[in-house]
Amino acid sequence: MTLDELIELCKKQQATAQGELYKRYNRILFAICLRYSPNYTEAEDNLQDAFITILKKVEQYNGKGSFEGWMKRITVNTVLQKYRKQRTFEIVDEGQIEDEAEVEIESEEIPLDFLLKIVQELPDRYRLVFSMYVMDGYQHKEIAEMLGISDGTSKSNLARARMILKNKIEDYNATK
Amino acid sequence: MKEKKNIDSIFNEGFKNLEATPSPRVWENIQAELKKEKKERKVIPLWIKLGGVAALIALLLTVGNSLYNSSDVVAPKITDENVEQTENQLQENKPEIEKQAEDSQVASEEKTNQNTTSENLDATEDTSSKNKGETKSSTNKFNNSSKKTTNSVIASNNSENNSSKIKDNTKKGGLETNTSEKNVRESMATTKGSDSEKGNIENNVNEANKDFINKDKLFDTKTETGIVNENSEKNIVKTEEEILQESKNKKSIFDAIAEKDEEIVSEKKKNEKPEHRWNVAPNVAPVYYSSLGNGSSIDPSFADNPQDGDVNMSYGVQVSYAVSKRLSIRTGVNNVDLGYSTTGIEVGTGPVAVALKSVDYGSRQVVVTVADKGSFASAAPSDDFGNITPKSTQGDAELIQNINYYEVPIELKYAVIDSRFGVNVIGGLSTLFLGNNEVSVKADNFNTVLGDANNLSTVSFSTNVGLGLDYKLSKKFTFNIEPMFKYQLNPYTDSSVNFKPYFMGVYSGLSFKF
Repeated sequence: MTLDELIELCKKQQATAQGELYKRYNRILFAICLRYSPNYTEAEDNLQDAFITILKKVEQYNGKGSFEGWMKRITVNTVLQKYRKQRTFEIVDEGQIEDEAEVEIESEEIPLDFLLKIVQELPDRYRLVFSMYVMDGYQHKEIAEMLGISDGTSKSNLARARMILKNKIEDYNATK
Repeated sequence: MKEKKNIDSIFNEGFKNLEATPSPRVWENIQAELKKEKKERKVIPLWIKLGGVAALIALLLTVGNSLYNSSDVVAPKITDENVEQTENQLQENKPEIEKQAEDSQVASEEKTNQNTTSENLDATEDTSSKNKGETKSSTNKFNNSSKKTTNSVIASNNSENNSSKIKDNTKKGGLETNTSEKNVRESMATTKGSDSEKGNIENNVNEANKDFINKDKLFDTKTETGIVNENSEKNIVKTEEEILQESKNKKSIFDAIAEKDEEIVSEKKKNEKPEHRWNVAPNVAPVYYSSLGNGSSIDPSFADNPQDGDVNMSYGVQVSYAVSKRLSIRTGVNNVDLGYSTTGIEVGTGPVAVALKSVDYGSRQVVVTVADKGSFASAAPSDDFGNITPKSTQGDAELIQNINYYEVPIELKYAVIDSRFGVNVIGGLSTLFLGNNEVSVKADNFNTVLGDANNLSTVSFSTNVGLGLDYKLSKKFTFNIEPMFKYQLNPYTDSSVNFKPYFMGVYSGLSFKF
C-alpha cells in the first residue's frame, strides 16, 4: 500500500490503516518524544497523545509538504503544549549569556542513552529550546513564537542548555 | 584520540537517526482512546438530533400554538370587558334617560308645538331599549351602537329641556335630533343586517365600518346640539359634563372599531385554522428493500452476484399535529422488517477463520459459510477455501439477510390539494434503531442461520420523501395511502461497504382526528 492510499484510508478512520500508519512511524515519532520529554514514561504518554491528534486531524492534511514532516510537527506541538506552560526554574538573569557561543568539548565516544539522559534532565524550557533549535532546525524567532517567549529568552535558554550539557559531558568524560 | 567538537553536532549526529520502540501499551491505549471517541461521537449526534427533534416539537406546540391562538384568546376578553362596561354605562344612564324622557314628555305636553320632537324622542327611546335587549342577548359586536343611541337620547332630551327656554334653539335641536335618530335607525338596520349575516362578516366589514362612521357623524351632530345648548345660560354646567361624557364615549367607540377589526381578523384566522389538530393513524405497508450501490453488505466478493430485495412488512402508528390547515408535523413508531437475498453462491462448512467476516458466528469454531459459486472447487488445499468442505445443495442456494428496525420518523406533510380527496407531499427523517438481524442460507434441502451481521449500525437514519393520497370518509376518519421512499444514511458501520440501501413502502391506514 502506498503512503497516499494509507492516508486516504486513515482519513476514512479505517482501523487497519490506522494500525499500519502507527507501525510505520511510531519509532521515528517516539524518538522525537524522547528528546522533548523529561523521561521515558512521559515520552510514551506524549507519543500516545500526538498520534491520536494525528489520526483525528489527518483529514486536515492537504498533501502539501511531506506527510512525515506534518506528523513530526504535530508531535512537537503536542509536546510543546504540555511543557511550555510549566514554569522553568529560572536561575539568573537570562540576558547575560552570549547568544551564539560556540561550545566545544572534547569528543569521545559518548553513548546515545547518556546524551538522551542529559537532554531529558534539562529544565523543561531549556530542553524544548535545545531540541527545537539544535535537532529540529527551528529558528529562534519561530521558537519564541511557539513558546510564547522573546527571541532573547530563546537564545539565552539555548546557551544555558549548551553549558549544562557541556558540563555533564565533561564530567562524564572525567569519570572514564 | 581526542578532538574538539561542537556540542550541537554531537547531539545532532547522535540523534539524527535515532529510532526507538515504545512499549505496545502505547498502541493499545491509542486504540482504546479511538474506540471511546467513536462511541462518544455516535452517542452525541443522536442526542443532539433527538434533542433537536424534541425541541422542534416543543417549539411548535408552544410558540406555534400561541402564535395561532393568541388573537383568539385575547380578543374575546377585551370584548367581554367592553360589553360589561357598556352595559354598566347603559344601566347608569338608564335612570337619567328615563327621567329625561319623562321630562321631555311633560315638556312636550305643555308645549304642543314641540310634538315632533317628543315623538322622535319616544322613537329614540324605543330604539334604545331595543338595542339594549340586543346587547344583552350577547351580540357583543354592535353593543356600542346602543350606547350611542342612549347618548343621542340624552342629547335630544337636553335639547328638549333647553327648548323650554330658547324655543328657536330647541327647534333646531329637535331637527338635529331627528337627523340623529334617522342616522341611528339607519345604522341599526345595517347593524341588524350584519348580525343576521354573521357568517359573512367579511363582506360586512365595510358596511359595519360605515355604520361606525355614521355614528361618529351622529356625535358631531350631538356635539353641535351641545354647543347650541351652551347658549342657554341655565344648562352650561350640565352640557359641559355631557360633552365630557360624550368625548369619553367617543373614545370607547374608536376602541370598539379597533376591536371589531381585531375580531374580524381573528374570525378570519379561525376559518384558516383546522378544526382538529391531532390525528392518529395506524398504518401497515409492504416494504421493498434494495440498494443503489452494487456492493454487498455481507462480503465484497458478492458484489457482482445477483441480489434481490425482498418484500416484507412494516406496521406502526403515527401521530400528527396540524400546524395549519395544510401543514402538519408527524411522528410515530414503526416496526420495519427488511430483507434481501444473494444468489449465485455455494455453501460449505469450515473453520471460523475462513468464514464470512461480516457474520458474528459466536463461539462456534466450525461453521457454515458461503462463497461465490465455484470458489471451493477451484481452491488449492493450501488456500483459505481449501479448508472448507462443500455442501451439496439442491436447487439454487440463497444467502438471505434479514434486518429488523424500529423506525421513529419525524416528517412534515403539506396538503397540495385539500378537499374530500387530498394530495399531500411528505418529507422528513427517520431514526432507525436496529432490532434483530440475521444472515441465513436457504436451499431446497437445506436451511440454516449463520449468525448476526456484525457490521450494522445500531442507530442509523434515513431521509424520507413520499406522496400522500387521502380520502375523507367522514369529518373524523380519513383513509390514507402513502407511497414512501426512504434512503438509509449510515446503515453500516464500515463505510467502505458500497451498499447503499433504501426501502420503499406503500403505507395505508385509517386516520382518526381528535
